[in-house]
Amino acid sequence: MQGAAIRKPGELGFALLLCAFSLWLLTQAYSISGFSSLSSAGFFPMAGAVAMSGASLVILAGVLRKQSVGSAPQVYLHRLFREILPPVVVIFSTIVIAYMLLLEPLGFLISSFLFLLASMLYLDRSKLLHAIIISALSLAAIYGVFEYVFSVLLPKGSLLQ
Amino acid sequence: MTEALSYFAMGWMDPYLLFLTAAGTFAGIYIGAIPGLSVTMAVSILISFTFKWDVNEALALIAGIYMGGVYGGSRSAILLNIPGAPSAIATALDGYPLAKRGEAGAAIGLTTVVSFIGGMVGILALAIAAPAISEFSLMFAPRDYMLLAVLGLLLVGSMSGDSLAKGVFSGALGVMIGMVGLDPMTAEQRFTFGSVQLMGGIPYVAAMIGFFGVSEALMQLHQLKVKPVKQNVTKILPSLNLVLKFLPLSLRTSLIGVIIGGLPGTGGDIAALMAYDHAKRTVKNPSRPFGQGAYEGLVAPESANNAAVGGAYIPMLTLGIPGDAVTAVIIGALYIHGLKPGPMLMIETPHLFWFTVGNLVLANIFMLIFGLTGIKIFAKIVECPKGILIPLILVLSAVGTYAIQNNPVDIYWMLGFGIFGYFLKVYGFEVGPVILGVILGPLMDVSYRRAMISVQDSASAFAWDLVSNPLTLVLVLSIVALLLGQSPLWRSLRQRIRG
Repeated sequence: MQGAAIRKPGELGFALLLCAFSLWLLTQAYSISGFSSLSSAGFFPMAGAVAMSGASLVILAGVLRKQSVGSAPQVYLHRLFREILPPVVVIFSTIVIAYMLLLEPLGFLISSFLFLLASMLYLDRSKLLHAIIISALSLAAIYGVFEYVFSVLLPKGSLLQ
Repeated sequence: MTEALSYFAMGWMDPYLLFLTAAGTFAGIYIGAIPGLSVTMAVSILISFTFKWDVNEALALIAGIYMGGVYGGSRSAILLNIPGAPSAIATALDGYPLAKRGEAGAAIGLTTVVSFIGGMVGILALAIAAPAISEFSLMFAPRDYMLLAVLGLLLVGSMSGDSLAKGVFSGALGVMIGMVGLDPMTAEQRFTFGSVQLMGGIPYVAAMIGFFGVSEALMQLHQLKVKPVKQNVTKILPSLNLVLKFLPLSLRTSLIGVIIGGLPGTGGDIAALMAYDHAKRTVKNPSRPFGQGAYEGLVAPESANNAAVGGAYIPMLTLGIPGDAVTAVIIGALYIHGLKPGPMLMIETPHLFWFTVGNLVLANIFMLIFGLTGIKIFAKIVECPKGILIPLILVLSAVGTYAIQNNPVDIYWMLGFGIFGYFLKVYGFEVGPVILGVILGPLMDVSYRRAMISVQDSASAFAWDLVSNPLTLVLVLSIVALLLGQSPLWRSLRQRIRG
């Protein structure tokens, strides 16, 4: 297929996942109130799920029409980790997930400071002192505004209490 | 007349009220401009914050934040491709390409001036035509609201991204997210899976910050090594010739903003998209192709979304129905202070109406002043190393989300949506339609069901209503034209006509 678009790595899997998810949502929407009436609580969710399912099928058809590169697994994985999931995204996402999970146990100040420090050292390759100063100053500003100006009670740390 | 003028001038003469309006506008601009924070969050926090205040003081602060925040949302849209509010989705389409060319300063300067123009048109409409506009809005039946919401979703779906199918998917996904929780009409559980947490629904701000802020922060990691573009901040204030050149477009799209903002339940988000679409259809020779840094692509949505502020106050004050999420919170504030927005407001408490108009004019002027004076600092944000900017955006996103309900579960939602949003973006989907779907989904659901109940669940009567009412027919034809215009059949026909 000359001139046809090339499929991105993982694109077919993602399209299939969206289809499966949409169809599952449709079954869940049906379980609300079935076809009991056109103005029932479940009708509009069903209509939304039908729109999602229809669109996901059109998207899947479009992806299937695209040209698969058909490369060896190693080349495919190389493309996947370059275009879709580069190591920096995977590692940084892990750091972010750890931060969000530690927010409650360690409290806002400690977890955010550790997160900022780790992220700046990893992403910016900052010098340690530089990263400590920027993290501390920005955190102080954010904490001051939210705790004292907006009176928002930020997590204090369940493990520390 | 003199009484009305004295109420109008109340906020101008009292130094404390003047200060509160200025502080609110300043805070609104920076809250709207900083990714991870949102105007809805700020106004929600302020309601409890100003509980014990005098009502005029609370309204002065909130009006400033609203006006400043709607404008401020465009800054992060232009500089970082992260719309600060749904009303800035369209702004990012041409604003971000301008920042990538190093023209962020000029882009922000232009948006500031046209936002001011739009804001003034909206306030003028509020002052002069509030009763007429609210009468017009009463002509809209529930089915018309449903169609307007569908049109808004299709517009945003068609404007960007690889295909309409992806836009429809994203919009429908947003609608489904908005359906989670208890049905507002019958309290039936929808997609709650027995969870008490889910019965309260999925917080829209967590979804917005996740899809806009977190997903874009992750996308930016692909360009970590790309050197930031040096921004030209010498030419910020647009020349008079440039403003006059775009003035007709600004005024036309401001009117769109007023009308859409004046409809209960619809606000700057739909107004901005319709304005952008209007500009694409009517401007024959844009400064650049739309989507590549056309100034018209900034002028239209920014005039409309600020005009929609004045428009949104119309149904809020005259009918007691919110124009958007922020005015919904403001109505709450009015009730807390013992006031009843609605048809009797202008009769029983006319001072409140004229005070609000005066306040909004003041907030608009402060927006112009503060907007033009902070551009250099903001434009420099783009030059900040991404390795420092991205973690800060994420901390602000976490705090901004947590601040809504002090519930850590909201942060997990934000993270989940952020990661999902990343994959959507990587595979060519747009996340703007998702957020619009979350906001418009409940409106569409309730409007559709009210329309259906009014015809006793008769599908044929419902279908007849879609074509027999002139206003409804116009909306239906607009939707059909939009769908046909995106179809492959139309595209090949157009290519044949062009030869």
